[in-house]
Amino acid sequence: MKQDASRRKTLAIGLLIAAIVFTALGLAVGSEGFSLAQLRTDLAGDDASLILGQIRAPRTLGALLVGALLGLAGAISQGLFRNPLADPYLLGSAAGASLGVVMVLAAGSASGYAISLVSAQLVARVGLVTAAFFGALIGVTLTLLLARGAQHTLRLLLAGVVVGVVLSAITELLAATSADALRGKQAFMLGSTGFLGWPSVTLLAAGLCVALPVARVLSRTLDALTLGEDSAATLGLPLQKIRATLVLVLAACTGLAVSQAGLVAFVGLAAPHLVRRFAPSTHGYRVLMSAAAGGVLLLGADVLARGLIAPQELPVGVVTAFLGGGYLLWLLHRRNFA
Amino acid sequence: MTLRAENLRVVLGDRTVLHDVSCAFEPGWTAIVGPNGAGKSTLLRALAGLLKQASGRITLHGKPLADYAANERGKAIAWLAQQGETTGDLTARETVHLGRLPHIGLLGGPTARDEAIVDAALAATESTDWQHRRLHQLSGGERQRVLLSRALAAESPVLLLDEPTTHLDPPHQVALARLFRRLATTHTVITVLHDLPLAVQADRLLVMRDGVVAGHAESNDVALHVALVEAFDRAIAVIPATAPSKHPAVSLRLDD
Repeated sequence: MKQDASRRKTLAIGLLIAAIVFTALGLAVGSEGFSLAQLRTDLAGDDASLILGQIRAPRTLGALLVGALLGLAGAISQGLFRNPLADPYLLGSAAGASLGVVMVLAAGSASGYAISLVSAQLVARVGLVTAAFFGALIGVTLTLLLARGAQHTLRLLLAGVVVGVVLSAITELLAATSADALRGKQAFMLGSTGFLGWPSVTLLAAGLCVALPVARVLSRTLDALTLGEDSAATLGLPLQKIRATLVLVLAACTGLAVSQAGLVAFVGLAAPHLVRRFAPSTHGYRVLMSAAAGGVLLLGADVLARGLIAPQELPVGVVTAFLGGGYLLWLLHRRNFA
Repeated sequence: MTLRAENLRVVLGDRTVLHDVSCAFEPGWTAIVGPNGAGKSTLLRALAGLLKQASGRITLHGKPLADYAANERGKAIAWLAQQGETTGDLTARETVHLGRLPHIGLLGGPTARDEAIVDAALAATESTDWQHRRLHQLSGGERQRVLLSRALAAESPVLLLDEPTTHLDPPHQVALARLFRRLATTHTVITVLHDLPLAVQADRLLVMRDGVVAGHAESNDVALHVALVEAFDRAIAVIPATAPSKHPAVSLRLDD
């Protein structure tokens, strides 16, 4: 028991230190890679407030917040579906967001108004973010309609797979009709923190401030679900309403994160998994620490993506996929995958 | 507290599993028995409010179960699932604490009284020694006892237990039967049991066959013994009790 408490404390302190270190690195790393000399020049230059205040700071904070939302969504997803391999993208949110983005890109291309994911125009940015967010919500709504609610886990999971396949097929069809949409779709699928500005940070922080306390309060329901559906239903909780609320929180977290940074792979899967392996606990602790671990993972991956081959940047989704894939391979190697 | 089923009909898929079942349960220990597919677990799940019935109703203390708020129902009826499937990383003690959820709710925290009740529930099933171990680190029998402690921790006047002695060795089966007898003086304990020698130790037996009640009486009732033997296609023999305070015995009939 003491060992458990000690591990939980160690993990919390470790994540806090990692968050501070990665935040500092995120502010420091620029086109020269990890260079203290370049950082001094940047700080002394006329563009210091632009480079640090308007580009690196929101990007760093944004990466932390996107990762936290995905980590939180992953912990909810794994608890709700009672499966350590459940991914927050399972309910059709990822496919819906992709379709939303590709629809805007294809519509822009068809009307002769070229939009790209790195477009600086406010209208284009707002349009893409809105389309991704509502696409994600529509994907989840379709899944809920097909599953006739959120009360049957397996039906929900199957409906999510069906909606994902159908929406992805429509996305592919649209992308095939427009070169702009195809390019945009590819960039979106890889994920990027390059689009994150202060408006994104505000939106992401607001979302996390609502989702995290709600998930924490409802986390005992996830504990109850570990005993099976029937047992959880007899523990005096309005299970169906709570499950529907958790599905909405899951959809909102995923939709918000995806709309700001594209489909960042593996963070939502790996963060709660890492927390569970290092410090097994109730869901109350797990949802909080999964958010922290998700933030640290994505920020760490973003720092690597920006610094490894500077001045070029790797798509952050590629880095998280390598790290996440490596982690899963390591787990398989240890044959302790549960 | 009386739990009553009135003209209960339950359909699962395209199969009617319970046909017009009526029965009432008063404080005491009732064992529901019957061959495979007779509808025992379905009746227990329906009594717990876990199944939507096609017709009929279930009442608790005269009030329809459907009219109870979720937390009131959770306080009144404790449930132990068949096979006790579990996932996750909860310790035995954290699991037993879940039994207090109907009383504490999502926002409250456990009080000293809740902790004392959890201690007592763990002690009742002799699970105190491994209270800090995780459920997936326990044997099937140990886990089953912890899950039973979770049901006891709810302090509900009605206990619905689906095969609570699964995975248990004979000493612990006997210990549980004694516990049920103790509880039965103040609680309504309803258990589905496959183990007939253990089931006949209950105060009353409810015999199910093909989705109907074939008999429901005190375990010493001779007419009930006939229904019991018939329900199991004469594969068993019931040896009547030697005294009114004793219980009958059951043996398998291996001879043709």
